[in-house]
Parts: sequence; structure tokens; C-alpha cells
Amino acid sequence: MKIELVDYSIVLIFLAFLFYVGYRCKQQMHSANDFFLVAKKLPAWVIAVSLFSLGLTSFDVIGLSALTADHGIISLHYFWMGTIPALAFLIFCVIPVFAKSQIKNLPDYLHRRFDSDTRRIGACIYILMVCVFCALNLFLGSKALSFFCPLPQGVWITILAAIAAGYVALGGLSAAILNSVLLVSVIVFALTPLSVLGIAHFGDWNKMVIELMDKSYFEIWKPLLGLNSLGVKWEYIFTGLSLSMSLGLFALDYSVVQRVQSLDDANDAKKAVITTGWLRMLSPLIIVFPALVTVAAVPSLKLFDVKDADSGMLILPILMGNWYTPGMFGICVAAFIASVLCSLQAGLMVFSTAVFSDIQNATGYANVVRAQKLTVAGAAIFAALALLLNQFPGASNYVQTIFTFIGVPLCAVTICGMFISGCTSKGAKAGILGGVIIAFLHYGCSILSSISPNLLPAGIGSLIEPLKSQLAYFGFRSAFASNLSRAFFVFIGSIVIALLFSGKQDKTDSKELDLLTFHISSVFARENRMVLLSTMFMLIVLVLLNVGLW
Amino acid sequence: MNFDITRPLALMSILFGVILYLYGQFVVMPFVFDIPHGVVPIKIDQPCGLFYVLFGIVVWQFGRFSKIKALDAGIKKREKELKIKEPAQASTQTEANSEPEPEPKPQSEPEPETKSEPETNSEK
Repeated sequence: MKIELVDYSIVLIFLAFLFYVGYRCKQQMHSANDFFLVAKKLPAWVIAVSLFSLGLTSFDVIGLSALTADHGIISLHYFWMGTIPALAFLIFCVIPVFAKSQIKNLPDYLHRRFDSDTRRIGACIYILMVCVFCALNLFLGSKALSFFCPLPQGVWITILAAIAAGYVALGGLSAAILNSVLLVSVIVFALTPLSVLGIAHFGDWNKMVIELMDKSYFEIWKPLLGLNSLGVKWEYIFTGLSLSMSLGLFALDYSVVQRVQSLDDANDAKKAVITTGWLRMLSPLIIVFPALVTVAAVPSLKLFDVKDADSGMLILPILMGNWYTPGMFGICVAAFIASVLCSLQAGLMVFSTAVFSDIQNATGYANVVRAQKLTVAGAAIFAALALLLNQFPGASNYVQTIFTFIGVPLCAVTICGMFISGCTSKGAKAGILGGVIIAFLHYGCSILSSISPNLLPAGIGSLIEPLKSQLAYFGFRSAFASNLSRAFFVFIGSIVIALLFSGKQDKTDSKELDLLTFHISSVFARENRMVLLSTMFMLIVLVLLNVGLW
Repeated sequence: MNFDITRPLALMSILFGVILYLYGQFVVMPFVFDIPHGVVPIKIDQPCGLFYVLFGIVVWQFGRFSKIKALDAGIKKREKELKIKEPAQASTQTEANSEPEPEPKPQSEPEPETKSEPETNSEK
């Protein structure tokens, strides 16, 4: 595979368009508010595509294709059970509450529902999570890009961070949202031909199944009923993925709420989320399917020598290298850059907004330069962390673990505040702290269950020996299974602790409390009928898909 | 936000499409691709290029359509505003023909046309 001049020119054209959009948004920016909020006239389809772009990051494109190559279509749970119920929750619970109380982001909600301290804690947690996730995405994206262009990963990390910082600093949230459309189009352009060529190569589905010689590769629930390579049980999908993790990753994600709330009309926002749900449901066609095709087809192709092929991260670049020619390589490089930018631009906006308005409490009209500086600083931090990950690649496995430690307690407390009017600020802080402690305890137990007592110092070993049978529950086959189990424990634990520690309600204004809590009547409101029907239809399709690929 | 993202998207797709198609046509050698009952020589750049060009044209038209639709909606909105006055205007005319009294002006949005018309009718 050789990158030629035409490929470089395609990438340069793509970058030029990104910066052009950033520049056009800058022309309409007059204050820091314009930087952090979008003008009210963005169409709903742009918001839908920008929400979809949050599910086309390097983690999804590279990481989930690697998961598919290793464990089969069990990875579909990430796209379906890990997203669609969370989006339904966003439509029926989060958007109505945020719309009626005119709230723009999650720390703002924590501030009004609890107090300013909870807001600061929330903002710090979001900043930490966004730093870790963006560093992981930079690391994965640079790995794929190094495969196409012979540049060291460190150089790619720096280039990518500079590109994202450049256009986001120029145009703010408007540029990030509008550029999502260009990013998504390039990713879809690069991946769709792989699926079409895969169908042409095998002719029919059965032939591909025969080629793979492993039927469990094409089942999503059956492997979970017995022993499977990931060690994930079926109940973990409902409790860990759909209930605990996906709510934090999609329904109560800072950037999701920021984008949804940039639409003026709550009904438009709901329609945008439904569109995103359908797009997300279809996205395995361009991510999971090509990964399966690679596993089935590559042994029969003349695979060129790839040192990192065993890591599974390069599953899509390998297929692209085999089936594409110069010209399309340029689109592929642009697509991998786009997949990194999808997460980086969202991350940078979260970072700058959280630091600017939630931690520094800054407002005013003359602060655009300060907001731009914060964006550049955020990019520098993400790049530094990614370079660190590059030095210790094993650390990338702990990113999801970190989310279960801090992201899940925050999500649980937010939901608690949204549904239970008796939850107070004291209870919220106790819930977050309690959740972190539960996560540490769960993690400790899972480590102890995997270590032989003989390897520990004599005193500790003798203490652990009798507990070994009790700790067997925490013996997980993979970090993924452990994370799902921990997420559920932390989620429930945080809610229980938050309620236990909630004393007398400190909010005296019952009207304000009423605005900030969820009411079931909003789901069945007359104007909501179409949204309700559309979401129900989406959920029915989800169930049918799961039954079909049982 | 007055900026329409469909324009850059369409332009970028058309540009990519043209580059890919021309490069596939004149530079790239056909690639031998395995299919179930044999092999076919394909130049992947060409079909992809054509598709991108088509996509770009569709997006461009979609952008134009949305712009026209937005303008249409604006016109309709204005018409609706004016229609509030039309029945009042019509009743003014008939009443002015039958009765010499001038019709009271609509209070919400007074406009010069409504003021002048009863006078002209009564003159006639």
C-alpha cells in the first residue's frame, strides 16, 4: 500500500473545508456566549447528525471493529442495547425536564437541583472523563493513521490535536456541530464501499458463515447464556450496559445534552434524537459487518505484512489496504482523521465550557479569546495524555474502568435528583463519594479473587484464604465483564446512599423543585403522541433485531 | 446562524467525486477482485467517485430546496399577517358602499392601505 499525491490532496481539501466552516462561524461570533452556545436556527437534522457523530469516534470505528473481530457480533450490544434505551430515556425524561427549566448543560442542572459545590464536582468529573476518553480516541486514531502514513504515532497525535484545536477555537460549538456533518459524511464514504465489496466477495451471508467456521460468531444472545470468551452474562447487558453505563454515556453525556439543548424547540430535539437512534441502529452495517468480512476474507487474500495486526486494532485498515486503491486511501485517511475529530471536538467543547462557566464561573462578552485559549489548552492536555498512553499502551484498557469509578456515580445521582424530589445536595455528594468507594471495593474484590493467596504476604494471604469462595463472584473473565458488573453495583449503591443521606429537603421553593423533577404526565402529553409512537416503533425494531440474531 | 452547511458538504463531495473518478479513469490500474464464481477487474475509485458526485448534487439540491422552502415559509407567514386585514378590508368595502360611516381601523396593526381605502370607495 502506497499513499500518493492524490491521497494527500484529498486530505488537504477535507481539512480546508473544516477550517472554512470554522472561519465562517467565527464571523458570526461576537461574545463568549456565541462561542459556547449556538444560534437558534440550526436545523434538527444537523443536530441529529452531530449526535450520531458522537457514536462514530475512533473508539467505535476501531475499537468496536476489533471487538467484533475477536468475539463476533456480540459487539452489537454496544450499538443497540447500549444506546437505544438510553436515547429513549433522553427523549422522555431528560429533554422534558431540561426544556421546561431552560437548562443548557448538566452542571447547570446540578447547580439548580442541588448546589454550586455539586456543580463543581460534576464539572470536574466531566473534565476528567473527557480528558481520558479523548486521549484514548487520539491514541486509537493515531494507530490507524500510522498504518496508512509512515509517521510516528506521536506526530499523528500532535497533528490531530492541532487540527481540532484550530477549528474549534475559531468557531466554537457552532463549528463543532456543523463540522460533524462533514466528518460523518467522510466516515460513511470510506466505510460503506467495504460492506458493498464484502457482499460482492461472498455472494451470500451463509458463505461468510461457512468461511468463519464458527456459528457463535453470528449470535448475540446465545453466547451470553453459557460460557463465552468475554465472560459476560446476559443480565450484565441489561443491568450494566443498558441501565448503568449507557445512561451516563448517551442520555446524560455532557456533549449530548449540550447539542440537544442547542435546539430551541423540545419537539425538534426529540425528533433529532429519534433520527440519531435510527442512524445508530444502522451503523453496524458499516462498522461490524466490514470487521466480519475482514476476518472471513483476509486469510484468502494476500495479506501484506502488518506488525500490529495481532492487536486487532487495524482490522478495518487491513481490509482497506487489500481492497482499495490510491484515491480511496485518501478518503480512508480523511475518515480516520474524522473519527478522531468526532470525539476531540466534542471533548474540547466540554472541556472549555466546563472550565469557563462551571469552574471559573466566568461570563461576559469580552471573553472569546479566553474561551479560545481554554480550547487550545484542552487540546494540549488531550495530546499529552495520548502521548502517555502511547508509552504505556496497556493503560488504554482502563479507560472504561475509570468511567465506572466516577462517571456512573455522577449519572446515578443526576437521575436520583431528576426522579426523587426528596434527594438533597448533601445526599448527592454522599452518593457520588459512596459510588466511588463501592467501585474501589468491587475492583479490589475482583483483583483479590484473581490472585492466588500464596503470592501474597503471609499475613494477608491467610486472611484472604477463607474469603476465596465468597470472592469467586468477582472473578471475571475480562475487564469488560468486570466493568459491566461494577457499573451496576455503583449505580444502585450511589442511588441508595444518596437517598439515605438526604436529610430534610433544603430546597424551599417547591415550584423550582417541580420544574427540575420528572413527571410521568409529560410522556403522555398530547403533543408528544407522535414522538411516543416513533420511539415505541424504534424499540420494537430493536427487539425484533435482537430476536432475529438471537 | 445564517450559514448553510449543505453548500460545503455538496462542494466537498463533488470535488472528491471528480478527483476520484478522473484518477480512477486515467491513473489507477484495475484491481482483480474475487467474487463467488471467478474474478472481476474493478477500479474502485470510479464507482465511488460517481456516487460522491451524485451525492453532492443531491445535497446541493436539498440545500436549494430547503432555502426555497424557508423563503416560501417566510412569504406565507407574511401573507398570513396580511390576510388578517383582508376580511376586515373586504367588510370595510361593503360597508362603505352601503353606509356612509367610515369603518373602524384594525387596532393590532394599523396600515396606510386600510386607512385610505374606505375614502376611495366612498368617493366612487
